[in-house]
Amino acid sequence: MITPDMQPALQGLVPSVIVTCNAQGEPNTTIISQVFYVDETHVALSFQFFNKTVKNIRENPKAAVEIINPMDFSMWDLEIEFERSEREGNIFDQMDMQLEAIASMSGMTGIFKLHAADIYKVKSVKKLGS
Amino acid sequence: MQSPAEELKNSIVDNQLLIDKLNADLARKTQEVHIIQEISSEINTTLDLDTILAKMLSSLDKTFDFKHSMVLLLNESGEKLNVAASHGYPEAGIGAEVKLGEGIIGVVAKRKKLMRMGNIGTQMAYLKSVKNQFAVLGKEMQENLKLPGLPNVQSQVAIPLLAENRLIGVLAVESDKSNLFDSRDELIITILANQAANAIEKAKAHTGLKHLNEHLEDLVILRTTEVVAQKEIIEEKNKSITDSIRYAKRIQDALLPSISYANENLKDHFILFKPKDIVSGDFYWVNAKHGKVFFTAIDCTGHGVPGAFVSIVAHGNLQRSLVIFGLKTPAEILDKVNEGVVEMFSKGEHGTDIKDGMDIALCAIDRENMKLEFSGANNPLYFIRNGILTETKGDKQPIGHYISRKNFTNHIFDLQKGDLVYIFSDGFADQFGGPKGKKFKYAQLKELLLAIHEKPMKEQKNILENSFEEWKGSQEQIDDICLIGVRI
Amino acid sequence: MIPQQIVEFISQLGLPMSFGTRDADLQTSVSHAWGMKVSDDSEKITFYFPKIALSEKHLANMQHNGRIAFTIGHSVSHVCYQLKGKYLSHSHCNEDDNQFIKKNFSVFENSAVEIYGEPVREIFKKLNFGEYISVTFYVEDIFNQTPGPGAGTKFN
Repeated sequence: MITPDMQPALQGLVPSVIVTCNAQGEPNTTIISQVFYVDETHVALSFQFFNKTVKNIRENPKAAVEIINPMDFSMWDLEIEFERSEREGNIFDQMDMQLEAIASMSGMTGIFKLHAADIYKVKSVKKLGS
Repeated sequence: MQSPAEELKNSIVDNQLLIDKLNADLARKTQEVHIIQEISSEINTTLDLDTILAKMLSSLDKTFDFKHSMVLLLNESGEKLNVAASHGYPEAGIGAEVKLGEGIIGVVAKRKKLMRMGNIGTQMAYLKSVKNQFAVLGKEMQENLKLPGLPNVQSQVAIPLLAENRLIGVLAVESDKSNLFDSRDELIITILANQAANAIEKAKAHTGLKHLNEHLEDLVILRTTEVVAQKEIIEEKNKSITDSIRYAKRIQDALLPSISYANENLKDHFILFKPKDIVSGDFYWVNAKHGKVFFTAIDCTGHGVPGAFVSIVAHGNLQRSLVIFGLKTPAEILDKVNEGVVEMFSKGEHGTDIKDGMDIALCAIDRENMKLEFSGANNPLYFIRNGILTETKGDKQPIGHYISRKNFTNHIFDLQKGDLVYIFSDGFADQFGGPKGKKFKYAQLKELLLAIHEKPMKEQKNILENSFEEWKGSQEQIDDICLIGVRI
Repeated sequence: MIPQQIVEFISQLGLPMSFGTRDADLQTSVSHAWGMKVSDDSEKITFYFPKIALSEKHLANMQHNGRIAFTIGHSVSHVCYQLKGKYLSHSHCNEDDNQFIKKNFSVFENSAVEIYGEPVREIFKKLNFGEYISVTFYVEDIFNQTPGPGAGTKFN
């Protein structure tokens, strides 16, 4: 359950860490720049490149992600599970537009492309810190 | 561990806090709606585009503390936006350009969809690192784009301005602080953006019309010459008519008793006389005879010039009845006046009867014997003694043509010092106005008189006059007004 | 063995770092760590994390399958490495460990103040994760995770 106090941690101000695990049981940690809020029980991650995280998640949908609120450094460790990839709709558009805007401002138009918005169900939330 | 009582206490405190918070939220929402309405109506009252945009941006700052904002409009090619207005920047930067698809504003314009970001700087820093990695591999990369706005922007809401789903521009609000805008801000800005889009379209349409008008001007000038000539003729005629009416007013004024005559005879009194037009169908009359002071408020049918004609007939007949026929009671006088008016109006050319007439309240005060006599044609008498108002109705018939006519009733009252007598025409009570545009009505007139009857007569007149103006507000005065008050 | 340049990078104090483990159902868990040391032989890493941070779950995972993934980076340059390996041991922290964690934390605090401003210091004063646990693992693989074209490359 994503509570309102977690919202500041879902704005991409502090990078998050996701841990996935392949079918053979090898965990992988990766830094991601933003975990996007979808609804009270879902978050979205951007799928830009076919990296280890994307590969693992398609072998084993279970993952964990840590988000941090930059205002008070409270942290939440979330257990999440991959549900589906979206290539259109509001969440996809939001993420795609942000990527396009930032890339164009950085003079890197065309280098980044949002493949899909990967939607995850939030299974558990553990809060740490203040 | 908390005791159950403490727990209960805490939960009550918690609940109260929640209620307070909800109330505060509600108050803020109500205020926001109010402000938005204000801004919208402000925006809608002008057709000048620069004014609309400037107003909108400064109200965003004033009321919502959005310090930096700009409006960009799509140019004719449909590929670029140009800054049309800005607020909160050291340089206005009017005209600065953004291509569709460039930066947040450009992407919002390209997709015609709103965007809100609170981590622009963070994301830019991240991509800078990526760029550095490419550079390490010897890949040449482009410089960052130079776009209008804050150099160190961290939060931005950009909203497409749409007219029937067609892009006309973008409204952007930004800040160098992170996560500054939430979904509530987004909503506020969206509502204003919609208002602005409408106003911009209206202003554009107006400019277009102005342009068209200029082409029509030559044609209009030709026509105007003709019209001006006609207008001059009409004005000339109007002037001579108005001059005649002003002269008529002098005649009518001459028929009214002088102030000194009224003061001498009515003593402590006031006369509120407010014609609707230059000349009036209402008038008043004071005459001292047979040891009594006769006075009356008369309402002739109609107002303006026709009313004034009837009033002269009435005046002549009053004078005749009192002075020539030597009649001594109000009722006798009214009967006589009626006789005269009916006679006069039935001599219409080609035998046409005139239906005009008048309503009268006629009083006679005998100070020596402390008696008051009253007779009324449709109009009543209000009498106040010891804070109690008594109404004496006049007979239900006018002066003038009327089928089932009978003689007027003569009412006689004993007077005491301090008694108050009020007579009037219907113009005051019939006036439309107030919050719902309704008639003032007699009930309210009674209340008002009761409320002020102890005040000096002059002050009563002022209060009545002010109350009338206040009630009338921006409405038109519908009839002449005549109201006389006398304190014994 | 961890290459010297990487040892030097990750031995800087105050870097943000996190680690992940997984259970028998392949469900992963993640937590933040607040300090790490490279062993003298550059083969092993010891890191510290709060006991309250899912420690029971992590320790059970490590004892079950031994797999650990550990990511450490620099928040300004975004230079970042992932170290993967096998759990060796864990223990409660001694006084030396606690002093080290404290020192690391204060450097982290200073760099956060640089990024987010002075008010952050107040927030850090209030942060208290309580008791820490130290975990040592044997490093098998190292990956470059700096965002960009080289991300994901394995060091040999």
